[in-house]
Amino acid sequence: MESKSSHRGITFAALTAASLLCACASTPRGTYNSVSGREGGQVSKHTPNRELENSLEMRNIVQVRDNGLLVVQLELANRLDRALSFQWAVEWYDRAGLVIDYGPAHYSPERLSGRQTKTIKITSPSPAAESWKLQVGSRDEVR
Amino acid sequence: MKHLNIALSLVSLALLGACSSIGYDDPNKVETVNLQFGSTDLQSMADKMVQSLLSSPGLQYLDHSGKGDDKRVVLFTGNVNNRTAEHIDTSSITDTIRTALLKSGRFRIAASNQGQDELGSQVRFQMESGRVDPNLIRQFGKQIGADAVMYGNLRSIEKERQRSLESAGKKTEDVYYKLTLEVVNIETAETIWMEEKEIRKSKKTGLFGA
Repeated sequence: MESKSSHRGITFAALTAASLLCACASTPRGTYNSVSGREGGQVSKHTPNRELENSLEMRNIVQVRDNGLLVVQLELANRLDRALSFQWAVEWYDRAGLVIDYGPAHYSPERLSGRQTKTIKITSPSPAAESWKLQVGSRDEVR
Repeated sequence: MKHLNIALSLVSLALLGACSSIGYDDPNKVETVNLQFGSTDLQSMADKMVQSLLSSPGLQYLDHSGKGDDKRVVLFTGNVNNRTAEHIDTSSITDTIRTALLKSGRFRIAASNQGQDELGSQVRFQMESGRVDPNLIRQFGKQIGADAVMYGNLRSIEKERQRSLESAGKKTEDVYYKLTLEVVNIETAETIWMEEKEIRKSKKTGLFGA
């Protein structure tokens, strides 16, 4: 009887240790998907994260030059029946393909309810911008 | 056997303690350490304001007598009043906005109050210290005059619902931030641009959470 109880104790302690270890391990993070375009050119998608691609659609992409600045609009659509959290960031490039560094190029957190869509409009920080790349990934937060 | 259990529990705790680490991370990452105003809020607000300022037709150029060929708007960034319950250095928001506007090449930026203080002490040093070549001393009176002033308010609404049977023991905290900025023409006192950015953050804590 005592032996059985001791075994249970060992199992419990081992499971506790394992769960504590798991709590510290980094969760697997998916790779980023991206959509990029050039003024007057085609839009291309790069979607190595199939899970994210199956959950989130980037569609109805419009790119125009307004007041000298390149403006990009696209629709983000949650294909799932449940809420989806993700983050996105955009980079702008000049004619030579050099990145335009303007400051607040940060990741924006988004949360879409099941089947919800959201249209985002982003304006280039400089008239020199001729192409862009929008990266979308799983939320990878500083908690 | 009792000793073995205690030993295993201690090992568990030691493993937990060993997980602490320090490392560099991306400053542009989303931050959700707590509900208080954070770096992602600052970046989101500044970004929205910059995008709006750059795409506003009313700020493409501003002409008046005495202005040369350069018709870009000369902007002075005033204060953003912090009307939230938190201590927030709102000059960090305007610093980010000014940086982006200047880099865009679409605006000219008049020196801030901090800049004016630094300029004043430097010119006084040049004129009064006797250490600077008189031919190279810079004089006051040649600064550009701002066409417009940008200022605004940061406000928040905070709400909290304590644990109850109705909420199944969950505690809910919610904070809503709103940044409102405007640009006013100095000569006419007319508001020529205005924008708002809202942010909502909420936290739900389970029955046993802190």
